[in-house]
Amino acid sequence: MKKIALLSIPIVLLSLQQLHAQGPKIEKETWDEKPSIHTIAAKYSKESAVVVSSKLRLEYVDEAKDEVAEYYTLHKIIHIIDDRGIEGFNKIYLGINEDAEVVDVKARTILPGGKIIALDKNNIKEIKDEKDNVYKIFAMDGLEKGCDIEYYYTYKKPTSYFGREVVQESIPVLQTNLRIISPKRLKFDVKSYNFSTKATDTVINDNRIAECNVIETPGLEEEKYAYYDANLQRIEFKLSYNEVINKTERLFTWNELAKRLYSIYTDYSDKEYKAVTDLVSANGWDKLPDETSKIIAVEKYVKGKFSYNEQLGSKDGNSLEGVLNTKVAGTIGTMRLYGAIFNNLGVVYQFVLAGNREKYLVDRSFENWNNCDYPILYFPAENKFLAPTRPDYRYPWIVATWGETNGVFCKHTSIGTLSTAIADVKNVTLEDYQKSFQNIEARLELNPGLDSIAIDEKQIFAGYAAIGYRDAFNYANADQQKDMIKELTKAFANSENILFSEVLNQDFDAENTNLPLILHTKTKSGELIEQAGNKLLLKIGMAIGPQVEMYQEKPRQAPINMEFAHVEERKLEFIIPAGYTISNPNDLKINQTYIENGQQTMGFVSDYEIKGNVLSIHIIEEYKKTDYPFNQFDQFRKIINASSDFNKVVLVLEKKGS
Amino acid sequence: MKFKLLTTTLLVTGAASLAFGRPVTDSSATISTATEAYEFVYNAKSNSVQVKEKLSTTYTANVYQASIPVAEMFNNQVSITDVDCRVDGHSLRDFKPLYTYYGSDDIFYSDEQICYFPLNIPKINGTGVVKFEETVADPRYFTSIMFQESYAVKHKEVSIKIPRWMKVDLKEYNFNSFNIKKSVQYIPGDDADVITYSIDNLPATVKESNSPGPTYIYPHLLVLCKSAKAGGHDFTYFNTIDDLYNWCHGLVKSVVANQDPITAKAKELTTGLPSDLDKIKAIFYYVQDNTRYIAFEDGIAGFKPEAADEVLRKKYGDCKGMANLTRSLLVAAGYDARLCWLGTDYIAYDYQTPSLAVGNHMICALNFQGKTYFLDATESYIGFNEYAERIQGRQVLVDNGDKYILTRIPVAAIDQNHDVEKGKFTINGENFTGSVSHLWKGEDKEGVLAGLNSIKKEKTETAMISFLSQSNPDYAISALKISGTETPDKDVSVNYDVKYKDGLSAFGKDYYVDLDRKKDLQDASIKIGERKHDFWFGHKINLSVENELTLPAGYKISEMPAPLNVVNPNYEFHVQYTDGHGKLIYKKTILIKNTHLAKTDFAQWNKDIEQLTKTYNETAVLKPVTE
Repeated sequence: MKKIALLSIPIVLLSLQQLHAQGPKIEKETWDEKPSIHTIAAKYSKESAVVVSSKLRLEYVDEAKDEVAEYYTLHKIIHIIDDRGIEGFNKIYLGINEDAEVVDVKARTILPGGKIIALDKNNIKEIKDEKDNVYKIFAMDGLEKGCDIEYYYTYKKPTSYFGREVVQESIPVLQTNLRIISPKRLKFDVKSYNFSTKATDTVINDNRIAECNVIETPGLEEEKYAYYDANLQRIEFKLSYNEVINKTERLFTWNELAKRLYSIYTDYSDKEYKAVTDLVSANGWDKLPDETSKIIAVEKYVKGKFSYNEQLGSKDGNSLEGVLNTKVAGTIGTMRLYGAIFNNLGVVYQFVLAGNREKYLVDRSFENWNNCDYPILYFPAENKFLAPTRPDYRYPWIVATWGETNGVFCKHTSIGTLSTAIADVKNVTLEDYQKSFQNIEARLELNPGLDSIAIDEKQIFAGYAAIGYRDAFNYANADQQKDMIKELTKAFANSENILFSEVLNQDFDAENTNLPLILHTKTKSGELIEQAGNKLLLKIGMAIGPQVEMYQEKPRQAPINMEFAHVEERKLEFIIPAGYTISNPNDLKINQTYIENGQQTMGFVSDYEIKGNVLSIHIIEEYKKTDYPFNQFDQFRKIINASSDFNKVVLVLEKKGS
Repeated sequence: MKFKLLTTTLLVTGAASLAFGRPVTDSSATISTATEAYEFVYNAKSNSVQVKEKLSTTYTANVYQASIPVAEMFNNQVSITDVDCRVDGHSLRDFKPLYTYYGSDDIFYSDEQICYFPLNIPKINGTGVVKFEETVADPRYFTSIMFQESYAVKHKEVSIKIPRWMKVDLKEYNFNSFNIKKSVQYIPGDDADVITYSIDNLPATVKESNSPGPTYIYPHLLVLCKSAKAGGHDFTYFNTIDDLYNWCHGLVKSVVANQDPITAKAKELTTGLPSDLDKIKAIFYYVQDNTRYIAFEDGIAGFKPEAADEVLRKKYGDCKGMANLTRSLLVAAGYDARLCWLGTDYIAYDYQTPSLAVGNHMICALNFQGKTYFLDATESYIGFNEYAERIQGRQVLVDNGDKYILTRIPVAAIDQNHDVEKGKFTINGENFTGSVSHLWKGEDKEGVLAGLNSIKKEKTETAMISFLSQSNPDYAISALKISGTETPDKDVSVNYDVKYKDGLSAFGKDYYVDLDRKKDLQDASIKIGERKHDFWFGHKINLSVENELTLPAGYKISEMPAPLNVVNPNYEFHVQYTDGHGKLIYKKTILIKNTHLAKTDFAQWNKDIEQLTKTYNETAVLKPVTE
């Protein structure tokens, strides 16, 4: 998601001081001219490399015309321990902003014998990736085990009064120093996440320095069911006071954000609003009986007739008139369009800026405007949301990781004739867990030759679990759809031999009523049956598709994160062939649940019954929460592994009387 | 084409891991018309011959909200002078192509860049027209014209305007099954010939795993720019293979190196070693082990090797730099070593066609005791006198001063590679317990080591356990011993104890036993009709498994699956259970003797794989002797 334009509006922070006529007064980064190799404690000997020192410095300096410039400096020393360390640090990528003014870049290798190999600046290249991110890249010369790598760079970046510096990496960081240096009138607040540290606030001459020192940050490895970025230790900062103006008036509050957002999203002329009135009238939305019908009809029309272009940032392209003419809109234009239509219809809504649980959070007490990137609409009467910038989502579904975390709700208010908004930071509630499911209903029957199985199967997806599949089926062409059906069928029925297939309730509109997307297939599979002498071995466990298996050899580092709470219910029927009996049906019984405060919050329960020649298996697997705390990991793992244990169940079919 | 090393290493080896993946095509749009016009022009200002290109493509959307990634490559020799894009007849608001570096896994930095933008066509049957104008500054770099596109093409015209002062050969490749019409028109006013190819109903290119390189399968022209006489000047490009060699060799000659560190390093590496062969290996393995493959291909650096002392100092380089360092160290140690140019098996051409498109790799040749050895230090784990499949049998241009030697790299016998697993097991409760030894040679060994070392976050032992167990935590390995990883000169082997239950089922008093846990090639049938191209294995496969189960006391073998023997000129499968008197013995051998499996052989291959799978799905049965 592209950063919302309103956050990048230049902000004048009056200095009321003599402006500098000379160049910027920033610290010049230096390194030790006679460095010695760092000795690393024995406890790190199994690491591939260790960050010995990571120094980050953000400097805000006054420039002409009441503008404040920002310079960013990073200085790192890394000790290389083994070949993987060499592989990992042979190539260095330094992220900078597009059009950034690079002040200095230096790098060197310090060999164990003390020899220093300095990087030739001619070997520093610049690249840009497909998202317009710019990098300075270079390869470190002469790396060998036991060497140190040292580099630093300083560049001038577009000024931002909010920031986030991640201090944890996949390898240990022995020492981190973060300093924010600003003119003394500008006071930054600093807050740490996923760990605890305090910042000092010091004024030296004309500068104020907020500083954090962090010692021995352990490496964080990626783990299953954990959002890596969200769990990394990080320090966030924001400008909170300009003491020249007012020592106690807090800057960049959530209320100020709500006010700005409201002002931008409702910025249209009477003429433009009249055009929207005509649109409402022409489509008969005002005649619809209730608010929900209006919301659904408007969304269907806009997402069907208008294109959302994330890259479209121009003023004209986002004016309501421009949007109505071209049927193409960027983020602001899209939000204006929905807002104007719903205003016209009298539908009560709030603009909301959502966070993203995968990365960072909206903190009520720490107003980092960089943490709320995703605009959605909230309808208080229905207590539901709409995602205007996501053509693949329909009311009331939004991207699941935008929910179950705080968002900034912009509540409309009036001051005299002035309409504005105030902020309410609160949870963006997702739909009830029972509405999101990924179920299987299957009937399995052996062929007369007893060497393959006919499987009549329905894979049933609803709620958040259906979004990705519905999107894929709607935007894919015929060949791609065919491939998807094959892949899904192969995953669950272990067969590409598809005799029949149909996709039901594929339309996006089905999301409004949560009509499940159903993939119905009839297949023939030889993979689930094996012959052993006069017995048949039925790999019934594989009929629920491959399940995740979790084995945690190292202590778990992160809490458990799931994209959304959900249910997986499977109903399998197996027709027992004539003359055969199942000798081990009790292998199908598995029961793993976790009760918290008297309520089951997660579980896997499988059971069966045999009536006549039909074996009916019922499995219910539920995860009722999106996040589980660290101390419930063992229970969580048992439940996850219960489903993979079911994968391994093999039923033995014996001839009666043998 | 620059000398890019294609470092697509085989993933952790084992035939079971071979991908028989499905073809990937994009039919979200069709190209209704495409025209490509090329013209050789003389630029008096730069006193050079240039190639002007005008490309126009009209896309028609087949789906709602089609998003077509439009990308055009350019570099120091090829510039894009104009880009235009229209959708449904309208120019685009905020149209801003992204001009950026083109990265790949193989190349850290090059002058290869990309002009990219998504062409979004909102409605079905909507159209998008994309136009590029480009200039190639030097005809040497105008090497080929590919006809097929990522999308199906209804009609395409390719025209090449060649003034008669320009000598060019156009070689047609893979035209066979395509309806491509050619016409030639002389334009007297320009004293030029216009050669036009027109094609109807050209299918989209199909990406498939393990396919031959594009020059083997797609219709295209190889453009051989030989010479020109323009503006009163004579220009010679690649008229003969001698011209190509002289150009490449000239770049090598211009490389100036400081010999002192090379001589010192050669001495350090070889002092005290007893034989010439030991010294040669020490040098080759040093470059392999201590020089990381990092390619900077900036302008002429894409063709010119870096000085050997610089590669030695930096401890990284590309194929050219590593070849040059290998050669320089060997020469400094007193051996006859040469640089070589070649194209890997990714390229269909050989040196009968003088063009920059022929080569994509450099290695070192060593003349030693009457035999020529080829040393490719970019293959990090291959031994001396072993050859990667991709260079086996390839024509190679060997530096010989003012002249060159044209020869071929040997084709290795199948026993260069070997993947051998031997296990001895007993039944302990519901588990197999026992000990396993595993040995890898040649490219199998290279695959294992490359795989292990590519896993950055784990130590060798953890990664090896994960590989051996196929990440199955129920395959519990203990007492793991790994040997042979320290030098490419040795085979890699492991020994370990194991406890596992996959393949063992106890029902009542009977045991159902499957002694093949991996079932190599089980999923290797090929979808005939879907697969468009021949299937090329990464290397020859020579795989054997020998597992021995000691029968539990009081048990006999009741049933054993029938043996399987498939023998074919291209491959062999042998699977057999035997009664070893108190032991059940399982032996399997899989040989892929010819890495190129042709489409015409797919039907037989599938029949043989079906037989193999059927054998895998049968188990042996052990019963009490009393029954």
